[in-house]
Amino acid sequence: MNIPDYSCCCDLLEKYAVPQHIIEHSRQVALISLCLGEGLAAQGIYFECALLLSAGLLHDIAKMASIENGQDHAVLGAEWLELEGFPEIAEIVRNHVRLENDLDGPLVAKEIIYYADKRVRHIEIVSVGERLLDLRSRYGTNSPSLTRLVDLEKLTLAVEEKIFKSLDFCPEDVLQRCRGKNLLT
Amino acid sequence: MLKSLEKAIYAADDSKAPFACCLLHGEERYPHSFLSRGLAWLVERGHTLEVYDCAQTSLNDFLATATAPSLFSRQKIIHLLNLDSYQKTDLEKLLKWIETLPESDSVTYLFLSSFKLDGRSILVSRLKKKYITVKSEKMRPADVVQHLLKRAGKAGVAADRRVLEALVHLHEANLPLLEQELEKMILYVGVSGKIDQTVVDLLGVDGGGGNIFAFGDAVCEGRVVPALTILDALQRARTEALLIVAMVARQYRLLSRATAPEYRGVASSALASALKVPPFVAKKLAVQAKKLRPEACASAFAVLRDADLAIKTSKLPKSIILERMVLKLAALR
Repeated sequence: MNIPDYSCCCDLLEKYAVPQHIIEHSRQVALISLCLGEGLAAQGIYFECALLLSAGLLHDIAKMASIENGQDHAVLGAEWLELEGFPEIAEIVRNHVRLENDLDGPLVAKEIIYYADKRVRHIEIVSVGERLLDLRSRYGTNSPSLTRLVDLEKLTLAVEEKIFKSLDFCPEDVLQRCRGKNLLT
Repeated sequence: MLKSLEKAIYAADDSKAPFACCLLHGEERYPHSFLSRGLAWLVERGHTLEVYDCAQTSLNDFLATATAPSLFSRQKIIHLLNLDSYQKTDLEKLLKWIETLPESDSVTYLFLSSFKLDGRSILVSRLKKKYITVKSEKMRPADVVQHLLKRAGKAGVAADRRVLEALVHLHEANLPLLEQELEKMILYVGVSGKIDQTVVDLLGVDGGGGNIFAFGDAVCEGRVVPALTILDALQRARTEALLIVAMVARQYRLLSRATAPEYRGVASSALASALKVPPFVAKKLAVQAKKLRPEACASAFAVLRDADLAIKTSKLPKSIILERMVLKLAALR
């Protein structure tokens, strides 16, 4: 598995001109992913920290470009990362908006990143409900979008349940557990 | 600076005194919070205070409301904040209005404040001639110590000056933090008590925390986790990224001199006098120099130069640039 290290992730963020506010958002997503990864490791479910860190940092790598050219940022980001030689990260990035996964199967990294992204509104760690409310106010303008958001809500809550079934803390504790923590420590 | 503000607040407390005005401008936050506390004190003393934010109130709205008598009392004190939100023409109009205030018997004192108002602004130069203008800037460490001693004295608590000096040095005269910690210690020792090193150790500011010197040491010793933790604290305290790089560069400059052949094996007292640093710094440098390869020092300067350049030119957040600098420097060992 080819996983970019922290420095390489920063180089990629710089190379693809990701704006500061998106980087700050991505850092929070990475922090939550690592926090969940740490909690899961304590329960004997191991994920590679470097994978969660880099996927969290890079999940919105194409966000700005997609705003400019109208493409799907998850798909475009995955394409870029595949070209950079990181297919595993690309797969996670592709799934961070529309998760294609078997919810009955074992927990996988793309579910963690998908969920962590739904816990960060801009750079603030919030509940899934608050984040979806924010998405609704930004994107839920017509009925197809609203239907998509309802589906998204159902899926996110199902993923939340799946993740926290294996953890010894609840979703409300995530903020407290992330407080004062550094991405690299 | 604080004395002038204190003088203005006491003057505002005297409702029979003629109208006066005080302008506070500058970025240092502490004097602004000092003024806010002073205004709260005036309210406690029964004065009526009206606060207007220039960012939310147009000048015309302000003038119309401020000139009208208060609903609650015949006289009032006004605080107009965020003055930088007004254009130059507005400020000129405001100055004209201030000139009419000595004849008004409703406004007894006018406080003006702004974090961003330029010292060369027409408002500063004109008000300076007649009223109090205070530039909000960082206080010198000696003044901070004096301020803390005074605060402790007012609470009836004795404080060991040397202990306070050490705290001020450690936390780079960060007055809001120091004052907050002092309040804790005053509460702990109570009236007639004494703040000494034992009390500081028990309750005081975390001595190993956000100090730029401790950061430099952690980086040069390759202790990544403490370095990143202190870096977080420094960034929360809004320490300038360039200052952080400069301080690490200073540490490496000292180290490169300490590793030079002429100082190899010399006593730390001799090293201290040669490098013009205190003996405890020389001792630390000697330990760090022993573990540093000579070529690593040269590479460290390249890393520092890159970080400096990135801070000035890159679009990456400064926090990331500094974190990468720490990781690269640690990897050189």
